[in-house]
Amino acid sequence: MSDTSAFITLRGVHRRYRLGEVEVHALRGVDLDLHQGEFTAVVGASGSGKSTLLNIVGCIDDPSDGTVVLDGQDTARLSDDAKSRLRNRKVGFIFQSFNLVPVLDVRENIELPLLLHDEVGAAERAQRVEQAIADVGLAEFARHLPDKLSGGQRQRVAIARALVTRPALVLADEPTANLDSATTHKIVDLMIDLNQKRGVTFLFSTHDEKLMGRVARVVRIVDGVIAP
Amino acid sequence: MTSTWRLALRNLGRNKRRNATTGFAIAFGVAGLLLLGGYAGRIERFLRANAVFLQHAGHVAVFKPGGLTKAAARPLTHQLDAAEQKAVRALLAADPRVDLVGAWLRGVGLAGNGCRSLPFEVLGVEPAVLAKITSHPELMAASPELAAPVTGRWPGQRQDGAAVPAALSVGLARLLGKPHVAGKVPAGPPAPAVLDCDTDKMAAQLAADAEVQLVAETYDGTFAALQGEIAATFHTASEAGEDGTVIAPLAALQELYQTDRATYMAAFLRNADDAAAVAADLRAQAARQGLKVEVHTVFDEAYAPYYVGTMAFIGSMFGFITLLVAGVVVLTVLGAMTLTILERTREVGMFRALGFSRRQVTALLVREAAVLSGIAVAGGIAIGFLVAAGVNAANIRFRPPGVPGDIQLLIWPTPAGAATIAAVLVPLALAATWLAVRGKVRSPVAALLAEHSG
Repeated sequence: MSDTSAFITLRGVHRRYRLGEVEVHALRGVDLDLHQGEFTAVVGASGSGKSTLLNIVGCIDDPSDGTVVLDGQDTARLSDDAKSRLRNRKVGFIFQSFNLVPVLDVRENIELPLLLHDEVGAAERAQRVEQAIADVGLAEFARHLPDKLSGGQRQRVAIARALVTRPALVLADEPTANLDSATTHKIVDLMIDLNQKRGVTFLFSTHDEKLMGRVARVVRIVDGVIAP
Repeated sequence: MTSTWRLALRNLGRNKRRNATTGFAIAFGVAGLLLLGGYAGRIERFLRANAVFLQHAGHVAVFKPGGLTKAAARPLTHQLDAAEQKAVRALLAADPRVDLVGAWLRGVGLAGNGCRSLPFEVLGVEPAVLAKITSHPELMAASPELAAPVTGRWPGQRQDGAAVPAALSVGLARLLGKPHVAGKVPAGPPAPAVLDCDTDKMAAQLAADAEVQLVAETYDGTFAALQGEIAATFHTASEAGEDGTVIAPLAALQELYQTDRATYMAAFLRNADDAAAVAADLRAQAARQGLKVEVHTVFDEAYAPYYVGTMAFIGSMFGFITLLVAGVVVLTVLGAMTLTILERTREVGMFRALGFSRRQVTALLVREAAVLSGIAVAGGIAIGFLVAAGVNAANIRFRPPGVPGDIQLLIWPTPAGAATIAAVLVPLALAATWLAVRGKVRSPVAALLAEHSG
């Protein structure tokens, strides 16, 4: 049964792909509901299917079987351009290795997804970028290029970039994997703070058991199956 | 500058060496094409000016039907009579695109010096027309070396009872032993009435005056002769005529051949590009008047074979080299952008994840190629114009095949040529970029971000 109040619903999702001669069955019938404003961690060992699950939720990968409904839209029915638009409007991504554009400064990196919002004028765009920079505490680094920032600061830029479009959902794929312990907790604190202040739904993957106590909901995934 | 163009510009700095290599390859290709095109343009103007003004072809020429090939053999049926000349002149003179009209008589004969006679081809031309075409600005710009006589002045009107003023090609004057033109013969004893031919006195006696005898068979089959005097010596536009060409006033030549006919009439246009249109209009008007004529332009291979044939060869060569350069540009850009896209696969994935469509990501990368190729093409054009200016200032001289004498090596690149090269190469560079990136951009987003799969 589908949960009609869920912002995201996955039903019977399988994902198979070929890795050389071998067929990998990364997800094996995943059912999952995420509600607006939830802060959820997907926990599992390396290769358990965490990233595949996040990719499918974020419409950057397609399930081999099953359905994904995001904000009322069955993603299987969407064209590639429509999925791009959906990602830009509804989803923010935070990557493990930040994925910032090295030739753009902090402000310009954060501005990138907003460039696709024709309805947002230059003045409003600048204001929203400034707000996002302030939210992640990087105001004094606004004109710095990524290679002048620490790992934690770069991830803050990535968080600001994910939030600047005011998405309903932020997907963070092992956002703290490249960070030290102290920075990890600061980043998690920041995401929780933004989740509580803005009501943004967060879904992040991690294999760090120490973070389990920090989040409201934990989804465990083992060999492509969500553990009961 | 929009953010995407700013991003494209900054991305060029991410692999300076590769982008510089690619940019230089494009720039040198553009400069090479511009210089080659400038040289081809200079040769075209040189050959066209020689054909139109020095070989007296004009831009548009009117013959009696069959006159182009048969006028010399059958002048009475294939040359224009006086009435036809008048009618053609009236038609051409009424056309505002026509600057100048003249009649020409071509013939053959013998030039004698009292000891020996040599065959010549003679061109009869109205002196006023000759004066204008040999000082035409286009000729002075494109072929100044051949425009002026080597010695003397182009022949003017013949004075009543006087010798016929004639211009002799340098080789013919030399073979006749006539080194001086009328009025420039050094003072000395006059030549005897009967020369001491085949003696050591002959050379001095021949050089003692500037007189030649012009002998020809008239159109009614008798022989006629006129006393001529050398008004000028000149280099012909083609080496083939250097030892036997004479230019004389039309009226005198008609007297020699005892005719009022002309081999052809030629029109010189204000703009050479109008030649085909003027010729077409003339054909139509002549047909309406019942005037049977054959009209050629200087762009007809049958009428100006050396000019048209040479330019066809140069055009083929230029086209082939353009293809080679375009191929080099395409392969260079293709290689550079293929490496770029491989290095930035995750970045492409990031853009796609942020919501950029395939087309928008492709456009970002094509913008980079546009900036790179735009800068490179502009640099290449600047290099081309600078090198051309340097070559032109250096006054390098060379002797083109078939031309008697040296001419200056000039390279005349044009803004239109530069624009054409840019219009060809920049889109090719962009197309090569599109080819290089389209496959990668179409990959699934998750695959592009594969390093993050868990």
